[in-house]
Amino acid sequence: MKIAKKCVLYLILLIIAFIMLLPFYMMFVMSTLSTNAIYSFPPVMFFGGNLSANYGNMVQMINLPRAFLNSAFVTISYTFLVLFFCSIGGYAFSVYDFPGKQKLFALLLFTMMIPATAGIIPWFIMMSKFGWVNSYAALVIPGCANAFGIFWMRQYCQNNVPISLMEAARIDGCSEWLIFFRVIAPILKPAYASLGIMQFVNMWNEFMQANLILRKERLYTLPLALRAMVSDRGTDYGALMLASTCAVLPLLIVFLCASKYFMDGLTAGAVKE
Amino acid sequence: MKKKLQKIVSVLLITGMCASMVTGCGSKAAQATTEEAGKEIAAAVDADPASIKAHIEVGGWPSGDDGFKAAMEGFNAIYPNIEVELVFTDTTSHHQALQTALAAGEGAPDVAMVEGAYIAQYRNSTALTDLNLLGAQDLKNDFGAFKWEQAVSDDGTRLVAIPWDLGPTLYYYRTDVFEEVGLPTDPEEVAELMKTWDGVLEVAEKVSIPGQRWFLPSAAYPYQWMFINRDYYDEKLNLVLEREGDLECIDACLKIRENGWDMDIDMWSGEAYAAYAAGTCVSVAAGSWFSGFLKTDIDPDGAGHWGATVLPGGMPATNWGGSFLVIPEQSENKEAAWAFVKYMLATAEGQNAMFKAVDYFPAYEPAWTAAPELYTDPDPYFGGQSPNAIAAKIAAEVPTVYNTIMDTTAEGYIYSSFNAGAEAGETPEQIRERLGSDIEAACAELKQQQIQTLKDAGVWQE
Amino acid sequence: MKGGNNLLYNLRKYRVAYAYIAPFYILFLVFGIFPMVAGLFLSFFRWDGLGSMHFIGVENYINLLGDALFWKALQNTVFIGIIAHIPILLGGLILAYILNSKLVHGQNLFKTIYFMPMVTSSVAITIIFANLFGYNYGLLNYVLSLFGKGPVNWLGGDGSLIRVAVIVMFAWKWIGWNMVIYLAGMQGISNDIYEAARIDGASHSRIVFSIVMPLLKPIILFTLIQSTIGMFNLFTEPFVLTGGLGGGTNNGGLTLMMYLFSKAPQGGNAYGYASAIAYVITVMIVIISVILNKTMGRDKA
Repeated sequence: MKIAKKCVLYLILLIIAFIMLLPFYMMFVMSTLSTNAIYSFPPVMFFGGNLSANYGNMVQMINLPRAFLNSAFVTISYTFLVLFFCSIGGYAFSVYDFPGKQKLFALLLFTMMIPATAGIIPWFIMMSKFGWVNSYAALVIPGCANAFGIFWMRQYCQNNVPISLMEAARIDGCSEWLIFFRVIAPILKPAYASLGIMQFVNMWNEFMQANLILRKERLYTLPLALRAMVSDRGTDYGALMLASTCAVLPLLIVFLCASKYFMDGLTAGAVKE
Repeated sequence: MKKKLQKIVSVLLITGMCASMVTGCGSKAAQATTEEAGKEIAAAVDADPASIKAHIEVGGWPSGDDGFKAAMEGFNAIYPNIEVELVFTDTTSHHQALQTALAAGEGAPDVAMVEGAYIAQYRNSTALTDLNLLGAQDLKNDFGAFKWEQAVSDDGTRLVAIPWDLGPTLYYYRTDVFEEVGLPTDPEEVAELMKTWDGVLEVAEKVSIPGQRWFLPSAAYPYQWMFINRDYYDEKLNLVLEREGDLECIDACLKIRENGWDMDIDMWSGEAYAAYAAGTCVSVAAGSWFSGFLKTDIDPDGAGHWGATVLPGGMPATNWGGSFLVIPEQSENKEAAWAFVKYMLATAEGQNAMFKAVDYFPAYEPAWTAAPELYTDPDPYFGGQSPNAIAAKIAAEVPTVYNTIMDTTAEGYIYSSFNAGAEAGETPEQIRERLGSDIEAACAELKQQQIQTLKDAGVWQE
Repeated sequence: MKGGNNLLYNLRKYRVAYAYIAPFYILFLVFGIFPMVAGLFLSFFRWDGLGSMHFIGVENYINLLGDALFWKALQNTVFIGIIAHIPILLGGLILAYILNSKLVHGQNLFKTIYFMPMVTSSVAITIIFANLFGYNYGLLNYVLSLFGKGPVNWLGGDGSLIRVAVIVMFAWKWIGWNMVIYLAGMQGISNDIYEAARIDGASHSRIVFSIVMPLLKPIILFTLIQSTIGMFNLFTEPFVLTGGLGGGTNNGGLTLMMYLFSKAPQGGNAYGYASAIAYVITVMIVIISVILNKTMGRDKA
């Protein structure tokens, strides 16, 4: 009985895993098919032989390595800034008491609720006034201390930062700054990992603002490069899927490498006081 | 004390922001081209081409860039010191970026493509240079009237764009399949056979194999062809959907749907494109620019198995899209921009070089006579037929119509309203009624905006 | 506020705290307030972005109330949001519970796989889903045909099935994310609690609903608010699946965010109206968040 139950449980988990993986598998498969094979019935479910032709077409249409480097630059600098600013912000909201804290925090939460599209024109006007059209600064700077990140880090700090540890460090004569870097930051590693992955993915996929700001092909990030492959005149879906695979694969590899650490961190249990 | 300071600082900051917005919006007007400046630009472009030194950005969507590249050598032979940078993306993204940059007053390219469906939005815009000031009115007679009028402001004084190409609507069909099922393949014979809806249904039945091969991507399209001039509204902004023979048309569409002779998908979807190439979707109609789509992208290996003729069902001559070029007022290189627009669109040399490369049928009529062979010679891709000759004939018959900013939204509803009506088992009258109410609902706010624009132009009468 | 020493100490402490939170508020002052205020300002105007602006008071808001498509979009958004969040929230919670307990082996592998949809490119994945749900060539219809069922026009027909496709895609993407958040929350629950409950003979479902859920209340509240925001921002999935801003037949897949975009800047150019929609969305998010907060108790972890 117990074994039967376990089998059912495994079966359910495996079915869900299959559903989660299927679109990825299809993407890899499609990157080796011609557009005609992608749209055929019954659907082709196994790798085909059109990879090199797709590669040839892709290389002709876009400069993938360039787009890749652009995306990497924007995303890494953005993620780094987010992690830094949001962790100190969330930490401050979590452990310090100061006048106006509640109101400031309520304001922060409120800003999360306004759809970004509401102010897209004024936002663009600002960016042009700053001279940031065709500049990555427009993508990186405005959102690098964002409400979600601060909220996320505060939540984590509340659960995991032992006040006793801070007190001990203070008694040892550490400055507040040092306490954060020496004592607190290491505790926040799992939160850094989760927030980092989320922000990394968001920026890696950012399209709308990038489309308004980055007009020159040499500045294109990956989503813009992928978008440039889609045309009313007919899209080479095989090549597009290959480019998508190239865009997603590094992300997946980074995630898979970091995931053990990331998942471990989440399930290691709270820091016991 | 400290708190007060904070308050003052934040108030100052916010006022600063709002002030910057006001100047942001105000600066647009300050740049408007004056009559004298216009004359100077026009003179410089005509008199001393080599003296214009500039780097200009030209924005658009593929394959306009291939067209420009094909004509660039000729352009630079006359204007050696103008450097052109092409900034191209997909159609939607391009228009969104252009729109945003014009609204913001900054960041637009020096020359931008605008698709025919969008031109009504820009027609009255003061964010675009009045090309009449640059001497464009002298070119008027060289262009088809129905296309030129689309770019003229409602008060009739300004011209914001020069037409690039026309899209005489052609009906494209797979000659190999027609032959296989014993139908004629010659354009005139096909046109004759399909002149009536009965003829259309006969063809549909013969070419279709349910579940494997289909007559059209969607049965909704013949109904959409009736409106492809985008003349949904009259000048009083009343929605006018009645057309001669429209109910017979919808009736035929419903029959196509009932019998499973259409794929029931969007004609621009990847699925449909694959079916055109594979010969599983046997026909489709579009502007003559679609010839270029077929040749270079959709079915590059398809030479010899496509044909093209006039629209079936006895429909009148229509025009489907075709683009324009505009020069934003914010451009600081108007001389070079105008030189570019004039060479590319208003010389036979420029237009024909682009026509050869990307099949954009020139709106500039002198181009047709300058190289008649381009328009009459048999096209090997179309098995020796000459779709361009048919397109030229259609172009001559297209009437001038009234376009509004609601047109693109209205057009989107034909497909979905027809599908909804067909699904609900409605009669042709009911489907037409449904389309009317769907469009009215979706266009309510746009109509208010259109009225406001017309009021601003001083031509709206309550 | 007592002695001088204490005050000095506090001031120093405040200085640090303010310095730490300053970046957000400075960036907000510089980049956030202006678009926000200007957006509100615009919502009282009629402006096509190209000509002159006309003040029309609250007309945009009044028109919006009588706008059938707005209501349709709201209805779709809420429907999709609520249905999709059953698997996202409940499924995420149950998966988190299973993978947090020692019920199965290979937890880390499962966790990694379930989280993978977060780590992807939305352009590519929507194209693949459109393909899976395709009418004539789709994988799903192929599977149905194996069982002798005719093809289903998921993305066409009378438009009612578009929502199914959107829900599937939305749930596919977010279930893993919620699972991870719940996992993060469960680390705060001591293992002894589960052990004790098991010894008392409590079933797993009882543990989930009676012990885990109450303990995770603040986390669940957070995911609910986040989901609400996510729901109102739903755009890419229905847009790509229906291939346009109308949301397909009968506006079956039209969401509020798509409707906003269809007014400006992507479809039309009614900037004032679009801004009004944006503010109505904002107000709805705020109201729902407040209600959630009130009913689920204040977040005091």
